[in-house]
Amino acid sequence: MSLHDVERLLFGLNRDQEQAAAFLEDPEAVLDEHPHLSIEEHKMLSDRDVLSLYRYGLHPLLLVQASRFFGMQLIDFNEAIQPALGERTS
Amino acid sequence: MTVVSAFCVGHGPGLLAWPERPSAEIATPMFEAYREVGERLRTSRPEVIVIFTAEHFANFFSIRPSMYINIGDRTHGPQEAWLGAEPRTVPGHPDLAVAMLQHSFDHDFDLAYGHDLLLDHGTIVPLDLLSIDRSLPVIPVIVNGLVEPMAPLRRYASWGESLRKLFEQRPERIAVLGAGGLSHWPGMPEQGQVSEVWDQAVLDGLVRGDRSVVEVMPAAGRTEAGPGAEELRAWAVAVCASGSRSAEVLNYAAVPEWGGGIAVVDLCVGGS
Repeated sequence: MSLHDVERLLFGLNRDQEQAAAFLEDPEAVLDEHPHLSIEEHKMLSDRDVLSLYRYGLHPLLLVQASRFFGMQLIDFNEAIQPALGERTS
Repeated sequence: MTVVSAFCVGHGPGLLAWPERPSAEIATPMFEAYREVGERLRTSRPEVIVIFTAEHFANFFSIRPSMYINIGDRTHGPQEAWLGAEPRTVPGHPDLAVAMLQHSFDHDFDLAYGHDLLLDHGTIVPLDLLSIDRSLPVIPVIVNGLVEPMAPLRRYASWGESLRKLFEQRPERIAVLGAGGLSHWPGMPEQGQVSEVWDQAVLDGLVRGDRSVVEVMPAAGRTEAGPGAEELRAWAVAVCASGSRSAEVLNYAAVPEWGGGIAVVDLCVGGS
């Protein structure tokens, strides 16, 4: 898949409360429905690795929205992406 | 009739979702400023509100218009359950909205349009904090300050100037809102930083009636004030569509707890 496809996946989850809840419960079950994810993309999403996803180039707003169904508090999200401070301008 | 009042305000979701996070010293005057703007808006007796704002992936992703107007007879929101706002159905104003659309086409602004915009905090925060009557028609107009590439600020200022000429000819009493900004870095490690210098440059420009601050992004906008500063596009349309030539800043504060610089501004037109 591509960055845009990963963003589309998160965009869809953010607008579908049932799917978002399903991801929170069992990310692998949801990700299995997206077999075209690359191994790296699958792992970043499965691990809820927001720092790697940020560095991958995901739109920051889509990512912070996803942190809700990643089960993260905003303060924990902010802390997790701190190593990327200054790396991007958008 | 023409524009009877016009304002620019922040639409940060934290204002509704986490009202308790900043100190009372910051929060109390901020909410008081929103209340005061709501009162001024009601005093101007509008028949319709046109709000220029952003949407945040509530509707648009693969297809993202630079300018979008909702011409349907109602909208709903908020999309974000976590916002804590009571769901509301907002009546539209198809007659004025279609007139705005046609006027824009006739003057070389090719808007996208639709009937079923889902409102998010970009619209709901101002409506709630200004205590806008739920029966008052609202036309949501979305500008793209979220995803690159973006049309330049001057394009939105020009569009606003064009709309002003339509508003002057319309029979309705129209209130104009611009919602967004100021400096902020949503979803980025820099989240919580504020550029008070940049924010103040924008506000000072509006107070002086210096249109250049909404025609050309004030110096090093994105670098200095973060991607969220691109929401200045919503203010640009509101300032120019309302014919504002000065402004009163009711309140401004750097509020890291709400994610950025937040201002409440009366654009000093009509009775406001």
